[in-house]
Amino acid sequence: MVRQVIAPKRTAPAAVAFEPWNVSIASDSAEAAPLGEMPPWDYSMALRFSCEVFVDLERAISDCGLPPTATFALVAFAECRDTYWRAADVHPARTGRMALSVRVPAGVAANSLRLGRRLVVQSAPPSSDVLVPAKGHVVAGADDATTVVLEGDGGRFPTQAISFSEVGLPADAPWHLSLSYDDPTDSFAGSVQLLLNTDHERVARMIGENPDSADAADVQAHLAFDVARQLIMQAVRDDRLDSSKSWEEDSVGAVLESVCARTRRRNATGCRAAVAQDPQGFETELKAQLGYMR
Amino acid sequence: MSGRFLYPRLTDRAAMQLREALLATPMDKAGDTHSLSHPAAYFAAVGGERVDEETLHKIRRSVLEALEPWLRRARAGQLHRGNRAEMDGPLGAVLHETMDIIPADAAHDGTWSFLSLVLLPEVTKARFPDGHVNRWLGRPRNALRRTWWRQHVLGDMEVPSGATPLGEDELVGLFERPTLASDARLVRLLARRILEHRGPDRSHFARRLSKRVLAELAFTETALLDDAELEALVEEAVRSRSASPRTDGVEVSTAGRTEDKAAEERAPWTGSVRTGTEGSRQPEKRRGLARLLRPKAGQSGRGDLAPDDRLPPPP
Repeated sequence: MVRQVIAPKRTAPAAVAFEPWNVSIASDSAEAAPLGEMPPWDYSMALRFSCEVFVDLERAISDCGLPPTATFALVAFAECRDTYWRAADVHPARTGRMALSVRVPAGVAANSLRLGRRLVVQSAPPSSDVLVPAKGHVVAGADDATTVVLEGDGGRFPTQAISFSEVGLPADAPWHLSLSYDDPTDSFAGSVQLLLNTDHERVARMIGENPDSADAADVQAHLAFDVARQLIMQAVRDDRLDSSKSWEEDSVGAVLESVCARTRRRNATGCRAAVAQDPQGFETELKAQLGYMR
Repeated sequence: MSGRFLYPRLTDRAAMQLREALLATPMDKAGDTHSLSHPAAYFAAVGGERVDEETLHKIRRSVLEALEPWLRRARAGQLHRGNRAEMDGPLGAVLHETMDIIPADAAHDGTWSFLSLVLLPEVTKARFPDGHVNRWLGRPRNALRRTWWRQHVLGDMEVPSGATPLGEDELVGLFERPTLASDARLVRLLARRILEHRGPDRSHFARRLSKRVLAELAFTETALLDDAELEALVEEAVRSRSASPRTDGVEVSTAGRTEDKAAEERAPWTGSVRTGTEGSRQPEKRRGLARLLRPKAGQSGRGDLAPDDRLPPPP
């Protein structure tokens, strides 16, 4: 079925040409990237969406039947229907290429966002013609909408950046893995949390201003190895994990077993036996198999 | 960032298991099933501070204190349909005041499943004793979730002297049209205008007003309108006795759907009567009604609407 929207006033869809949206972390000086290259996002991050628009105001005025004194605004908006939130940035329109942007503060959006751009009458003298648009009427872009998926289905490792000195953890430690569960059937995501120390200079740089630097990559490599090693050693200590059992997906048992499967011992039972036989040898084995400093 | 805490989430599977158990638990024992944690609970991986059990305990205590009159009657089997809806206002207010939840986290079903079935099971059961999944699991119509969001968006609405607080169907009419509810200025204005209405059938007035403003928004950008101009837009929708050509089709063809949203309850924001249950929904009947309302070929939409399908004049 063809959907035909009939506007109640004259419009000027040919007076604007919208370029694709770009996205950047609002606090970041990095250049905006296309929406398809959306950076990793969480609730604590503000986003900025930007784009360019070509505007022909003469065309807009003539198509809408407005006098030359009429003025227009370009509006870029973002709205999140799951959080009943909307923000609109209003830019006075002029003929030529214009840059638009809209900011999404931290914590206000979830799941997905809807972005849109509109050319709107900002001021116009009263007209006797009922079809001539007036202030606030959208003359172009009424159907412009782009949906941005913010939260995918893929799992992420539960992580929080905090100041260790404020919570009583050793202030010089770069991170702390908290793993607390009663039973291996418990939810892994609800039982584990990686705390990153914002007091630690290198960690702070990694999660802050310079996440793509060589130093940040080095810290991440150490972190990834250490987390995997700690999880494997936890599996070794917990003798409820044995090769005869299977665990529900996303449970502590399932995740610990899957990390053990990355070693040549293949499961927690095998790792436990290897530790019992030669603890130092097993540690060395882990470094080799998990690609430490490779 | 507004809000501080991330809350535990429950998977639908775990929530369904808890629902079954709570259904089988008598109301006077429902509170005994509460807990501050659940083995299947998990948090959003990143993006905030995890709420601690002490805070969860405080929230539970505050909610139980605020709702004690209703919960006492529920335990005694004396809380009737008409009184249950009275809980919503105080519930939304106390949740919003105590939770300090990141709004993004409050948009997730699992968060509200945990709060409804683990932390506050007796509140959920007292408010919706039939245990409908849409009310007990954390979906948008969840017993707790919708009250938090209404409080978050509308805040403390002052009810004009002599007016009835907003009813469930009036609130549903606003909040299940996210284009309206996402515009905080507009939705508060609409809520106030509905509260000020003195006509005989306010819910009907509210439905028509919401639909007309919604149709207007397709071609109007409210960000360019100041408060007075936005109010004028709403008043124009109130005064409008004939809809625009586009809204003819919209109003007629969605009549049944709007009724779907609103019909299961007729209960004010703080105090009135709830009629009907979700279990008694009859979609076939409503589709039939929508078909009957749809104009026949060769007839104009507007001309076929009954006179009372138009908005009454403002008071």
